[in-house]
Amino acid sequence: MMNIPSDSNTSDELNFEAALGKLEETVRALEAGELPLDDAIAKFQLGMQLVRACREKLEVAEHKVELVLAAEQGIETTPFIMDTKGLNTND
Amino acid sequence: MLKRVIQTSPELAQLSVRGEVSNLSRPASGHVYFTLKDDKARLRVVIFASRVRLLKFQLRDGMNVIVQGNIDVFERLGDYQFYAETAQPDGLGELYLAFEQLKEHLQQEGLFAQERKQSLPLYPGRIALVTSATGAAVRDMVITLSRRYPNAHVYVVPVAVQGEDAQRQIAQGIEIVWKNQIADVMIVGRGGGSLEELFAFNSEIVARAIAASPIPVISAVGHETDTTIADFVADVRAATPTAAAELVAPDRRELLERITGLAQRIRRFITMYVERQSIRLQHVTESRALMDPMHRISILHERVDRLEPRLRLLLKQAVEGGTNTTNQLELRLARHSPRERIFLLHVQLDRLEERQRREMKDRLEYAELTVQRLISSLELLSPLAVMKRGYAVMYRAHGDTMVTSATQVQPGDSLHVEMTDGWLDCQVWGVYENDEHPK
Repeated sequence: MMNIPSDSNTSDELNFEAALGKLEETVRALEAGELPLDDAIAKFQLGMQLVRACREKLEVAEHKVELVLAAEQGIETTPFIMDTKGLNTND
Repeated sequence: MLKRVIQTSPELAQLSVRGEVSNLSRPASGHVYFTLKDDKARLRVVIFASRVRLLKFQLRDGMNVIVQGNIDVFERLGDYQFYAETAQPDGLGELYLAFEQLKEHLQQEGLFAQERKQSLPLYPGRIALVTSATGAAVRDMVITLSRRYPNAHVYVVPVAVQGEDAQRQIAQGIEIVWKNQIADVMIVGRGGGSLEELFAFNSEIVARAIAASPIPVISAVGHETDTTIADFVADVRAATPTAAAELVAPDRRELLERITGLAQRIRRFITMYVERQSIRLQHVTESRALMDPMHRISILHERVDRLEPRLRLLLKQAVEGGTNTTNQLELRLARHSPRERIFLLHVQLDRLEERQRREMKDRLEYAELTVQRLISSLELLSPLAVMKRGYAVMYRAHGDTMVTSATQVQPGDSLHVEMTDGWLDCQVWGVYENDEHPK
């Protein structure tokens, strides 16, 4: 049993979205025009960092499924064991 | 006859018949045929395809329905059958009515309005599934999410999806999710079923719970064309639980491909950029100015070198021109100089002198010639000349008397014979006349 993680996960994922957005923006900026060498290299490094960060966020994640149960105060979670019986039912 | 009677009988024109569906068949034509039966009787019923499409539920064997239509005779079989225009589930009639009424009510309230719809998060970190913990729906969604987007944390909120308590549990499950901020988005649903089985999703309490949720709700009820109230209220409607799982999150593989694509664009860009800058640098470093600072000077030198001979040539030409002019002037001057005249006078003088000389010479020669001729004439006349021709002058030995005739001499006389180059002393041996010849 464990508690629902707070907003950390949300912000993490928002970071993925933001990182991907920033990555796309960086690529566009690079391709848009003639940047001074220093800027180009800085943007290149930033872009590659974002690529790595995005990949990590996508690849490192393990698929986690939990069952949420109402408790006396709030809720509790427990790992969800998929029921392979009764799969033919419609519910 | 029977047909006419049936067709003209007003009490047979619009009928409602109640019964249980059996022997249901759906040929490719789209028409539906079945037998409606109850304890006492059975009636053959046909619903034409155009009407079937308007039905709000699926006809099944064993279902109790009420059909409205009219009876007519199918002449070929000599049989009569019921031509149904509408059908509705019997016993659920009230439920059905309630559904329609609730739908209209909520619609008027604006719960279905497009502007109420929340957009789904693009990359949800946490996804809640409000559904039965057992069954195909939750399994399909979990599997789909683990395949497509394992990054999302999935929370299953187990609820009953059919039965008396279902609507309350579903509504509570929805509330649990958003009140506890379990997820960024939730899917509320179940597998397909009959109208009765889907009842909970047509309930007002579930509709209001969905509408109240501040986090986006995807409805996923059934795999068939049934549309529930929940579908109308939800922010996004998915046809099936699997479709909902595909809608709720992006495909990780696609995302990775996109990121790889972006990375490639960055690398390609930087490669090209560096290449471009290198070429620029190369251009700069290879430029003559940097490679050979003396180059500009060389160029100037070269210009000077090229100009110098031209200058020299010009100078030469100028000098030559001047010289020529001078020469010409000199020539012209010379042409007008008195020397010429002097020379001419000299020549004239010489010529005159020559003439004079020649004249003199001529005269002298002539004079000499004359003298010579005179001399010759004189010589001709002189005795010496005669003597040269062999003649001699005879003198008497004593004295100067010239003997000119034979008669003047006597034999024995001495004679002096003078010749041009000397003289002879001779003695006459005989004297003879011309006609006398010595004997």
